[in-house]
Amino acid sequence: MAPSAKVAIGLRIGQTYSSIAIITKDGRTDCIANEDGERQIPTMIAFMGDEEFTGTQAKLQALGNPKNTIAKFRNLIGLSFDDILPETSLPTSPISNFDSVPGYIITHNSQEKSYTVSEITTKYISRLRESAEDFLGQAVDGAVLAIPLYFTQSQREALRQAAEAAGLRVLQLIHEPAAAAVAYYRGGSKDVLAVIVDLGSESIDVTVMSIRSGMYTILGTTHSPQVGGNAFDDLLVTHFSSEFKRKTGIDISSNKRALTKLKSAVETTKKTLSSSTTALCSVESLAEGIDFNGNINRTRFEIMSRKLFDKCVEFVKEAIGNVGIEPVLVEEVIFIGGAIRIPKLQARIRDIFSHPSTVIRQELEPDEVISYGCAYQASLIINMTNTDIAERIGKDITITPHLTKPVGIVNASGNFVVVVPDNTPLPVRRVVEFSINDDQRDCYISVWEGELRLVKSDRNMNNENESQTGEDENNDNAE
Amino acid sequence: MSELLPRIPDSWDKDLTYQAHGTLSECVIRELEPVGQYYLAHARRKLHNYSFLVDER
Ligand SMILES: Nc1ncnc2c1ncn2[C@@H]1O[C@H](COP(=O)(O)OP(=O)(O)OP(=O)(O)O)[C@@H](O)[C@H]1O
Ligand SMILES: [Mg+2]
Repeated sequence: MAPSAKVAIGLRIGQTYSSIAIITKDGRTDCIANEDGERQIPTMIAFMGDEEFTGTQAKLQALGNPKNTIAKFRNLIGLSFDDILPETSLPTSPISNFDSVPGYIITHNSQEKSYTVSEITTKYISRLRESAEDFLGQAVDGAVLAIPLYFTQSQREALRQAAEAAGLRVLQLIHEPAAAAVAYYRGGSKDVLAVIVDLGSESIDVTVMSIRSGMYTILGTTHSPQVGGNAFDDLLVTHFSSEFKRKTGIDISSNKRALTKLKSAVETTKKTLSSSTTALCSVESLAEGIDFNGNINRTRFEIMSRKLFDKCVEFVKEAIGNVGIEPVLVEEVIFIGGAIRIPKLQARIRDIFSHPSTVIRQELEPDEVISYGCAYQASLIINMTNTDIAERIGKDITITPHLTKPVGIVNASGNFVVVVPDNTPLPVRRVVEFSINDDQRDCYISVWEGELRLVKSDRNMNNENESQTGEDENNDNAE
Repeated sequence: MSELLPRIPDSWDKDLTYQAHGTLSECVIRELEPVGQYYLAHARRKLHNYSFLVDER
């Protein structure tokens, strides 16, 4: 294919952070920063006077201007108001009900305005698109967006429409774990059974995936909002607010403003603890004009987080258990999501996969990898028409029979050699090389499936249709 | 290092080229994640009803 001048981007809109990735001129995938230099851009919007802020600038508004600051809207898109669980602790603009459509009432330009979740999403994505275009110095021709596995059809549709309203040509929506996997394996075609552990800010998502001949199939998944980076922040908030109470006698447990300040400070403390063994937490004028200065060491943090670690371990085990496999069969574990950087958590998950042959993959930044995969996928399809893309990713094509058992050949020592592993989508073609002894004039190819023998065949080496490399006789059956 | 194939056992009927003992177990129908270049190649073959060989031409 001739190189194209078209520019595509990958977008990950997380519930709390988003990122934009591109393929660089030298073929690497990289995230680009917005005008404030952020590669992880808080998924927030704030309105102040006649200005509109996104990212950290919006996050900063949550304190002084909470009513006009909007957060955590990603998961609400495409839902009806009645489907949304009331979120009481939100220090930002509350969710309003516009005829069953969720939205927000804010003051902008001294006027009261209402925006639906979709409109807010469109505003947010527009800003991401602009950041990309500023960086690239040209218009973006298309984008692939990541979505969580649990998004419903109407959520997908609503996100697509919101992104299109933001001026993006949406090439495709792909699942977050698939995006992460394709970022890691890209053009490779090696067979891997992988588990992708995503610890974001609001949930943990564990996905068991089989990768066969460069194709990706999800075998099982667990999703739970019980753990995520936020839950660790909450522990630190409790810890430091009781320390503050001990020192000053002031109870901030029902002081929303103080809690918001502390919550934002402890996120930094938590991140620091991932790379240092101690971290500070300082908040100017936490309550009644009194500053707070605390510190915590990693061990202390690990002790108070033990229950959360246990839960993470439980969800990982549940995901692989649901698929009916043992941890020893897992070849690679991919760590994604910003909160997976917590060292003790990594250690606890490694303990599940203690078999020496299981590889832990975390070379790519865990909160960027999803957008990398989107950018890569976008680069593959940017030159296709929408009709072509739709045809290629439709159910007719994706729904495919998969082998339930491995198929292989018995070697001279009587051992079963897997040629096509289980969970391989069909049809498949595999070329494998077998050899024969120098004095051998014929060979016997015995094809088995799992424990079951299917075909026995021979090839007389003097025959006209001789085959030097034993081909998998099962190809014909498989197709 | 490639695997060695056995010789044809004496019990084998030399007139046969192959002998089937069974068929593949029932497959499971699963959904592929539509990502990556190999998926796109799979989609192309399926759409046009190409075999691997035709697809490579
Ligand atoms: N170095 C670090 N150590 C610990 N936690 C971190 C670190 N860096 C980021 N985090 C945490 O990771 C979380 C954000 O991760 P991520 O961007 O993957 O979430 P998200 O995709 O927005 O959320 P979700 O997946 O729940 O929708 C935040 O809680 C953040 O504090
Ligand atoms: Mg996430």
